[in-house]
Formats: sequence, structure tokens, C-alpha cells
Amino acid sequence: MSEDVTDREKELLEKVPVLAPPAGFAARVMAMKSRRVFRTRVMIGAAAVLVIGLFASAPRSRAFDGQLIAQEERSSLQIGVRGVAVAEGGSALVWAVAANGAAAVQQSSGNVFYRVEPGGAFVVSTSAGEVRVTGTCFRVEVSDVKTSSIASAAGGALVATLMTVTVYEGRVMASAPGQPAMALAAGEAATIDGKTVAKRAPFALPAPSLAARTLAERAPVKPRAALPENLDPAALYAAHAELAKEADALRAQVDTLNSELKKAKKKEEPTLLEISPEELQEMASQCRLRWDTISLDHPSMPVAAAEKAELSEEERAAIDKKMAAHQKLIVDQIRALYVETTGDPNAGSMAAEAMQVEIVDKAPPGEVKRTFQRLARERAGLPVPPLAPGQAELPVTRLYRALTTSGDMLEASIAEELGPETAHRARKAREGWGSQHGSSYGCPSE
Amino acid sequence: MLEIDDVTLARAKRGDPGAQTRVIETYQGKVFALLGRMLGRSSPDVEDLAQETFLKALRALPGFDPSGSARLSTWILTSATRLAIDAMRRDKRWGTTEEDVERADHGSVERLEQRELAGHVEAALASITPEGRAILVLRAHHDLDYPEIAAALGLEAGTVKSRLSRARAALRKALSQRGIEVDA
Repeated sequence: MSEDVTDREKELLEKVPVLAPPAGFAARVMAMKSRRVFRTRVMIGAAAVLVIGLFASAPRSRAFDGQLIAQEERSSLQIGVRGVAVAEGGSALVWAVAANGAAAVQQSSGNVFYRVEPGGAFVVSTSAGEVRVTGTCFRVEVSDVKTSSIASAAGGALVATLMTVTVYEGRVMASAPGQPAMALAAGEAATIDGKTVAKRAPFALPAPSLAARTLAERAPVKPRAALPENLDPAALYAAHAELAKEADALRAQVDTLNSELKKAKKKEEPTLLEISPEELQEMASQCRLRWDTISLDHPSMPVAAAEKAELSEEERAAIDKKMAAHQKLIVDQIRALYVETTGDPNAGSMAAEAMQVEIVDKAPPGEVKRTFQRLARERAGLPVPPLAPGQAELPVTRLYRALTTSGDMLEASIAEELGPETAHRARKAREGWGSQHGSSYGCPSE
Repeated sequence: MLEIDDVTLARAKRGDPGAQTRVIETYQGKVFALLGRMLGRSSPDVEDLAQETFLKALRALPGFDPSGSARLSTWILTSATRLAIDAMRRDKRWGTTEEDVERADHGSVERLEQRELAGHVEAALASITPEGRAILVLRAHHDLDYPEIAAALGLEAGTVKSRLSRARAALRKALSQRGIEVDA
């Protein structure tokens, strides 16, 4: 067995689809950060437990974050930032949302549909049991049923609560008090009577997506018996026509799947050095730029990257030399732009990063966005508004122009000495010159 | 891996909310991919750990040295890896189960064969120890080199190599038991 992960192993591991972040994730983290600056996770956990504990013991009329008491009409409720509940007439529920997003809902009656975006725990409790989810769609129905028991023999029928859980998407964990939880997947339902969870017959889910339908409806490819010998020309033509028709249908299915695959691949991170015209156009529409530069602090070609690019020691040394010269060129450009921006001639000792920040900070309002828009459109081959006569590009625009063209400039410079193929191989070894960036400040209209 | 630009990073270090949001947006895909691979895509705790990763990263960002040995992406992935390993050690239920594989198959829109294969690979990954899985995922998917992985996990580079070797052997064995030959 080889020492490192092989291509075949990588290929197999790549079969597992990548889990994508949910929409609005960054905003949620930032919101949470503002609430949690000085608190530890332990404190948050304790607070959540406290809230839930208080919640369970509180009188029903008391609401911590919200309540809905048996209304006649259907109501739509927002539970925290992640949950939406559609409560049918006659439903009663109260809920609390902890600082970490965990939500506890106490549903005492009625029929409620919940849609929960992925995140922390989301628990719906009734007196019969509870449902625990992190992101899914499901319905909880609470009904009272008459039961017979020893007590009922003496005093009449008892009323017990029955909870019915129906899952439309994802998965929930349903449990009766003190009992282990049972997983319910989409298309499954169960009733909980306070003691046990009983699965009910599965129900039909809505139609699957195009690709799933294409696959499900695909006619199985049956092995064909060999054609009999000595077929007359008419029979051969008929057999040929039939097979050609099947082949066309299969090609159409392959095309459909290819197109979906293409769409899925588009969502993956593209390489920095081979950006397609479509990607450039999409980036232009988002005023987004991607570029590579050398490290402005320690420019050099790492040994591992040089080995990957199959460079000789001499080639590596030559590249290091070019990188050092290029670093000086870029830092000198940044320094000149800094002096032009600030009028401060004493920029000799400032770090390149600090000068860049100053140049960007001192740009007129909206200019960074306009710069990104202009450069992204230029790269995509789209028209850009001309500058007014006599007007020069602002320092911030020239800064980003210098940075975003830096990788190509260095490659061209190395190509002069070592040839274009070697120069590109060296750059490609790390998918860029070591420091790869992707950024957007949004478009001017945003 | 794409890194955030120096100016945005400097602003994020100074606490600029817009820049910090861009830090999250830049690296969230990698963090979810890493955590999904380590804990299993169906794990309900991936998002919690991803949030924790970024909250920790934003708190520690002022101390991050861009000219140091670690790239920001490696630094964030290191934090996510440690959180995932701790969580898996705390709770041995973490990881993809056969039931999860079944369920994941139902919801996917990929080709059936690919889905089935993905399910098997995911289940095979789940059979590897948390540390072994972390090393394998960081090496195979995130292209971290041995010293970077060693720094992330607090191990010697030599130990990383031997544990990677063991993790790969365990993966191969688990795949072979499912009828998938790695050398095929």
C-alpha cells in the first residue's frame, strides 16, 4: 500500500456528496456572536436548560417567547428564527427560544404543522411524548381519547392524550416519557400514547425531483437475446429501428443526468486558474473577484509544491528569485498608492497589509464596490463605463488591479526565463501562487 | 484553497461585522464539508459545531497571524476538526449508521448507483476512529500536508503518517466488506 492517499481512494471518498451550509448561516452566526460575546458555551447550555426547566414547570398562561391559546382560525407563527408553525383552529401552544437557538414548544392541543430550518435542538412536547428535530417538516396532532382503567371502573372513563406525529421531510426522534426515542423518516407517522411510540402505515410523499423521476422511471435495460440468424432485410430494418429508438431514449436520459450533474458541479468550488467564461459572467453579476498572489511577507516556492510541479532545484531557485523581485515590485506599488492616498511620505516601515487597509479605508464611499464591479466586468469581457476625460483611476482601483493581475504578471515573468509550460506548472502546483483570494464587497446597487 | 483577501482579513481582525461575515461566507462551505464528512451528513449537530467553529474563530481572530505558518483556512479547519473529534469522543453515537445511509439514499437526486456507493463509502468512513477519520478527511479532501495535520491534532508528523496508514487500511477493509475493492 502506498504511503499517501491514492487517487482511487480520493475518488471513492469524493463520492460522498458535500454537505452545504444552509442559507443565512453567516448571518445567524453573526447574530449569535453579538449575543454571546462574553458568554461561554457552558453558560449558554445551562441557560437553555434553565429556560426549558422553567418552561415545563410554568403555568400554561405564562409565555416566555410566545403563546397561542386555542383560536378558532388557522394561525401562522414564527418560532425563533428557525421555526414556522401553522396551527389549525383549536390549537394551543407556548414556546421558548434559548439564546443558542434551541427551541422548546409545549403543544397542549390541536393540530400544528412545523417547518424547522436546520440548527440546534427544536423540541415539541405534549403530555403524551415529545418530538425532537433539528431541521425538517412535520405535523403534531394532539387529541384526547377515553380510556378504561381500574380508576375508570370506579369513577368513569379517564381521558388520555394521544399525540400523532407525521413527518414530511428529514427525520425526527419521537419518544414517550422515559422511553428510548424512535426515529421517524419522511413519509412515516406514529402515535404516542404517553407510554409507547407506535409507527403507523407510511403515507405517500409528494413527487420527487426531475432527476429522481428520470431514474425511477427509467426502463430497466434488459439483456437482449441474440437476433436469429438469416433474418430477412425487413426484419433486420425493424430490429434496427427498435434498437435505435431505445438508444435515443437512453441518450436523452443521459443528457438529462449530465445537465443536472453539470449544474451540481457548478456549485462546487471552481479552480482559480481555469475560470470558465460563464463563471466570469456570474462573478461579474455578483461583483466578485478571485485572484492569486505570492505571499507579500515570505515569497518562496515550497519544496513540496516544487516536487509536485516536478521542478529541478535550479528551476525552483530561479522561481524564488523571480518571486522576490515580484514581491518588491508589488510592495513598491502599494507603497506608492499609499503615499498618494494619504500624503504620508513615511511609509517605509509599514507592512503591506496595513498600507492596503489604509488605501481601502480612505477610498470614497462606494468606490470599493465600484472597483470590484469594474474589474469583474473587465475580466468577463463586459463593457465598463468609461472614466471621465482627464480622470485617472483612484488608488483603490489601481490597488486591486495590481493585486488581481499580480499572478499573471509573475507567471509571465517566470515564463520569460523558464518557458511558459514550466511557469504554468509551477503556478498550478498549488492552484495559484500560494496566496489565493476570493472576495466581494457587494455591487454598487446593493 | 481560496483565502479571504488581506484587507478583509485585517478588517475582520479589527471587529468589522461586514468583514467577519465575509470570513464566514468564505470558509463555511469547507467547514460544513469537513464536519459532514467527519460526523456524517445526517448528523443533526453539524450546524451547531459549524456555528461553534466560527464563533471561536471570530473570538480568536485578533490573535491570528497571517504571516505565520498556518493559512486562515487551515486555522479554521483545525478548530472545526478539534471540535468534531471532541464531540465524537463525548458521544459515541456520532457518525453515519446503516439507517442513516438508507435514509440518505431516499432523499438524494443523484444517480442510484452513485448514491449507493456514496452510502457505502460514508458508512465505511464512520467505522474509522474519530482521529483517523479526521486525518483521512484533512489529507484527502482538504489537501493539508502532514505538518499541518500534525499541528491541527497536536501530533508528531510521523504519528500522522502512521495513523493515516491505519485509517486507510480500516477504510479499505470496511469497503471490501461491502464488496467495494479499492484497488479495482
